[in-house]
Amino acid sequence: MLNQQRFFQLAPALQLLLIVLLLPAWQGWSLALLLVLNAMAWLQAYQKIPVLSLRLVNVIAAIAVVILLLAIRQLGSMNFLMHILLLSALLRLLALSRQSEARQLIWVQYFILGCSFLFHQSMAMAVLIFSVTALNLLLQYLLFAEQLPSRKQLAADSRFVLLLLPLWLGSFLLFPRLAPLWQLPSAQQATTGLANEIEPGTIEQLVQSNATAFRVRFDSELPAQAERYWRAKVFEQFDGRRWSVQQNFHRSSRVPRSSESAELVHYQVIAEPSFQRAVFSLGTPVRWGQELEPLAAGLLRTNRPISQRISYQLSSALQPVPLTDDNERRWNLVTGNHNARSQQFANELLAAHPEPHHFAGAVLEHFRQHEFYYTLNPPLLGRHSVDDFLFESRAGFCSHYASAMALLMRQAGIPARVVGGYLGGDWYPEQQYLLVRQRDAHAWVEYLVDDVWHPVDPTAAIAPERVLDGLDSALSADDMALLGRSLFGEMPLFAQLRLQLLHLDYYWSVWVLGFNQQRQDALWQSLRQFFRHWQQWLLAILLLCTLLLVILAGYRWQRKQPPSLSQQLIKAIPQLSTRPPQSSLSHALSLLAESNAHEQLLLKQIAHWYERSVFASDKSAQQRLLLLLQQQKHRLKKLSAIQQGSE
Amino acid sequence: MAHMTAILRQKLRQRLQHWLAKKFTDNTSFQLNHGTLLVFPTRYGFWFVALFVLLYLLGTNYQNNLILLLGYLLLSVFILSIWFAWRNLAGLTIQVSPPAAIYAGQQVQLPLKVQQPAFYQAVQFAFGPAKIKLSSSQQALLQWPAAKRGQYRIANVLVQTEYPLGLIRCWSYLPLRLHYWVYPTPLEPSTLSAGADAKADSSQQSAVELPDQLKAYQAGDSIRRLHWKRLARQPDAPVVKVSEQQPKADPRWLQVPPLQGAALEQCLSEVCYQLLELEAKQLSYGLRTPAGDLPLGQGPLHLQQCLQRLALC
Repeated sequence: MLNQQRFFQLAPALQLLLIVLLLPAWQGWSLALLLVLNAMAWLQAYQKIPVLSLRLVNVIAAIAVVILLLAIRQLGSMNFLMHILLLSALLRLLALSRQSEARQLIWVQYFILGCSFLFHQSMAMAVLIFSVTALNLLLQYLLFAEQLPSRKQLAADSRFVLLLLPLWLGSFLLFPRLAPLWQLPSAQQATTGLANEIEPGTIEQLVQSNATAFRVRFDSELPAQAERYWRAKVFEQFDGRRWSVQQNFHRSSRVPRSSESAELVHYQVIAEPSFQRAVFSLGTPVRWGQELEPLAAGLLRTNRPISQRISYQLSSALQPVPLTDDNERRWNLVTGNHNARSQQFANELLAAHPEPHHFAGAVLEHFRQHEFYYTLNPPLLGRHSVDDFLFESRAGFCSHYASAMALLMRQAGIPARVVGGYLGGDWYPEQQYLLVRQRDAHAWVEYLVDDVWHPVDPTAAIAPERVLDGLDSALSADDMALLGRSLFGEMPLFAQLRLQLLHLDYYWSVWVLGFNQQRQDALWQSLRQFFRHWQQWLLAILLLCTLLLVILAGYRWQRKQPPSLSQQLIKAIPQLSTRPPQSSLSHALSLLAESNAHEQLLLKQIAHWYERSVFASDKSAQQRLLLLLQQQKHRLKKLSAIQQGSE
Repeated sequence: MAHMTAILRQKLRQRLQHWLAKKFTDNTSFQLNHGTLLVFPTRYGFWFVALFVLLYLLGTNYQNNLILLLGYLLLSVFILSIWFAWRNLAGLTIQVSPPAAIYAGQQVQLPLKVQQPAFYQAVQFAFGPAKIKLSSSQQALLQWPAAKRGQYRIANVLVQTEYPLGLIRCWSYLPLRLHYWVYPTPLEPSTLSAGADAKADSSQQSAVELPDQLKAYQAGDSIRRLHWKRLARQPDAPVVKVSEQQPKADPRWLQVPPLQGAALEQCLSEVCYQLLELEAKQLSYGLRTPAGDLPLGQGPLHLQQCLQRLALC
């Protein structure tokens, strides 16, 4: 092994990095256990404790596996497997005594690195994970090499290591891809984004986060700001305070058919991992890919919880969602036993405006005229939340307004429901994508008239800037402070940098993470087109040949032997080439000394160093000789030739 | 089953050695190049390919491009290391000199000289149980203990490397046709056997009846040196044999009687010791063995012949 000490010092460092990379998979107690084992490996590296015996290691492993099995329900199968993998790697290092065991360790570490990509897909993490892979490669090199390569060798080798890039990327782009073969467990983590319940306070909390929810690329025209209502969840059950999604919401329903005259919007959503199956759609989805399946109320969901960044394509008609199930009428009229004052108010309003659309307009008018405030920090509401909101506090966020309006409509006999999703997003015209963050989360209302669910947004009546310009313009200064938007974030240079990184992350998602079967087919297609013509074939072959020639020429040039000492001597003193055929160089030098009496000393010195370096293999003499030849170039040139005829 | 694979591998190895022997042009200086090098993945290399397959399946099932990228990276590293393993050995010229003759119990030393050491490392030389690993050095010695005496043949020396990542093995067999001798360990003869040998010697001596130097008996001469036969004929004129004073003219014969097993080994060791002693004293000596006789002689060449005859006994 090259450097045993270095190997044993690098290995615990790498394992610590692995523990950090798989952080989402650990529980508190298991993380502590792993760190203890890693600390033992560090101690071993500095010879504080000896290598553990195999028996001890097996005992530790058995205990750990038993504990993990007991906790498997808490962990989930995927995290359990991660535990097993990393435990085996840690214990292997602690008991390492042979080279074959070191090889196994390196193999397992590669596999763990592959699994860590299940938890992180962002560009920065990908760079980190590939760096750790390079570290593992270095460990493998330390195992099989004997010396670190010299600088010259590194320079020569680096040319060939560059070959790695086209090989790697080429195989990624062109190697055939398959559809998923079988189901594997996915990582279990806390869900993000909109939950299945909404009550006063949930959206306010969600809005505090600046994290990306999803990105959208439009293949058709960008819809207007007021039409970018992204539907995610539909809340139909109300218990007086909280709205929640129906238990049997996954019921299969009639696929809604849009009228042919409607214009379709085609878009691709790149969703961040939310560990839920909710799909973000505009209007009424009409076409979707096979990774999605339809739900009721014009919603869709993915086949598996979104545990990594994925993208899906949709085509929607920007129309109100039609009725999909007759029971919806019944379900969405339940008002509950609370909020009696609102019921009274609803009755009054219905008497004044019996037509549903007018009723809705009247509610909005009521909001406009009675000093309702749009704020991020409204007063707390009690059991009769809508009563308290409508008649006491009159201040709330989008979910308060939506909740109140939906209840009022239900109490008036119009089926209504609260829809949760996102409104707006940041459009980047140069990069052509829409970035929707968690702080764009929103709630609005849909009510049923003529078998069509009409959307209405009460926030538009209170704070129209919210709909038109986005959240920042609708909030007061106090609320903005609450969201923690500090000056630091607004510094132009920093903001610009963040923005560029954001765009980079987007391109990463689209080109690297989003490279799928269709893209590969398109690539093959374009390649086939390219090579249809014989000229391009010829060009490609010529290019390849020149490349090979260049590499070979460089290789040959590297391997050429440096000139020997005698050759160098003759090159420095050309007069030596006219020496008599049988005489050696030393003899020739003495002859030359005879012909050049004034340079005798110099020539004697040269002869002396030459003989020492050749016959006594004196390296320093060789260096001195070369130096001397170099320095006395001009004097040597002036030497007269060996006189012929002298013996 | 394991036996069969062992036999198969042996056969394959012999085939390869035979094939390689034809490829090498020079018998003393072996040039390693594309014609004489073999390249194949090691067992660890196959595990690496299995790792790639696993990563491919993992990436496909999760539809995760980054796992696929990692798998392709490892596959590219595997392919590239073929080139690096080959380059580690290509261009090397190895000269092997015949090992010097040694005595049993010492180490046989096979001198290797590597030329054109354009940055190579981790190259293993192996012959039988002996292995060494060279990196950028020009000369090395492959040695292994010689237990038994005899004449041995070195057929093929393995040159291999698993540099840089242990995934690909590049190797060749150098077709040496060298012999080396292991002489029996010289053992100083104990007095008992010395007596026995001396007896044998003297009896041989008398049997041969070399030209005697005789002189009249004088008081004080050793009785043993009396010429008894002449005394029988001439009782009143005892004659004494006088040993040759010039060392060179006094030959000693050494005999190896037809023994077996440990006794034979013991005898050979002692005779070897005596040969060395005689050579050191610059006496001439001859050897008698069941296999045949070696005439009297002296000098390093004669010594060598005697020792070789001893080794083959």
